[in-house]
Formats: sequence, C-alpha cells, structure tokens
Amino acid sequence: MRIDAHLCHDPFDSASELAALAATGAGAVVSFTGIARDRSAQGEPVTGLFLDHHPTLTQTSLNAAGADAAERFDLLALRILHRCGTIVPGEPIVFVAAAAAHRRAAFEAVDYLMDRLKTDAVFWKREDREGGSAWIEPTAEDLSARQRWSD
Amino acid sequence: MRITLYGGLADAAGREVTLAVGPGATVADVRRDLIALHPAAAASLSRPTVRACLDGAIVGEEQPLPPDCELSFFPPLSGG
Repeated sequence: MRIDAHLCHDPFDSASELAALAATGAGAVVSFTGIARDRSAQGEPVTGLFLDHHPTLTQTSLNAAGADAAERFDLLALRILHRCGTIVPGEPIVFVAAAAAHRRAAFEAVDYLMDRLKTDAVFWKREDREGGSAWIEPTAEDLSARQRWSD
Repeated sequence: MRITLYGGLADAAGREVTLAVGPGATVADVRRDLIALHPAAAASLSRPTVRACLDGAIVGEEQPLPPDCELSFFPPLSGG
C-alpha cells in the first residue's frame, strides 16, 4: 500500500488532496483536516500559529505514524500532510486521509493518526494572540486519547 | 558543544547555544550549565517534561555525552 507523509512548508489544499486519494478507486475514503482557529481556548482572538519543527526528526515522526497505521489497519493508501512555520487562522494545519476496501479501517486509521500526531509528531506549536504568544502543550484529553490505542 | 533548543526554549535562550563541555559530562551537567548561562530560561529548562535528544533519540539525564554528538532539548511535543 502507498503511504505519503509530508512536512509542508507552504499552504496546501485539502480538497485536492482528498480528491487525489479518492481517485485510487477504493471503496472507502475518510479524511480529517485540522484548521487553525481564530480564537484561543479562552476565547481570545488569535492572529496566527507558528509550528516549530526539527530538521530531520519531524519527517521521521510523520513517517513512523503512517507506517504504524498501515501495519495496524487494513488500508489501501494513506496520506498525511502537516504544516510547519507560520499559519494564519482558517488555513489547514494537518490533513490525514485513509483509503480502504471498507469503511471501518478507514475511519479508525484517521482517528488513530490524529491521536498519534497530537502527542508524538515532533512539532512545537505557538499560538500568537493580540496580548502575547503562548506555547501549546498536549492536554490531558490528548494524552488519554493517545493511550486508548496502546492496548 | 553546540546545543539546539526548540519551541519555547529557543524563545528564552536562542536556537543554538555553545557551551564548553568537559569529558564525561552528562545531560544533567549540560542542563545545569544552560540554566546558569540563561537564568531567564531556568524555569523552562528545569522542567522534567523538557527532554534531551541525543543523536536523534530521547535520553535520560545520566546519559554521558560523546564528543561531536548532536544534543537538543525538546519541550513537550504539540502537533496535529
């Protein structure tokens, strides 16, 4: 099966990425797009995000997540795109899509990958607000979501 | 030795920090020296959730540092 995992320095278009995966002819295609919000968790206006990354380990972590998903679920194709650098509100940060013969594997693979990326992908996310910036850390919910795949 | 800092650590102390590191020094020794050099970053650098990455692998505080190694410090990851 085909696994594409890319670290993107520039904006990408989720719709065209999904169309490319749907064109593989699989019976089931599921995708998720994470989009930069314009409000913080506390409701403050957000002017942008900055995603710091490692020159080699970030790509390695995306590859590892994709490889583990391919081993765990019965898939035909997988595509992972993750931005780095400066992102404006409304732009996609991450895109994950899975193609499979049947829907259950596709749904679960995308769910699994997002839980993996939230805690294991080598990025550091800074939220820039009018009143100042703050580096974001995984929440307790992110960590427990990751744990549920460890059985 | 050149140490690379990521995320919020780089804000406080810069992306690259050069330290004189003696033979037999461990990760803990370098962390202590970094804090001494950048006291404004002490609170961040002291957190146990800030981990050392040596030649691409996360290591513990007692890990000895070979000459010419690549050492970084990582705050908790936040992707997705």
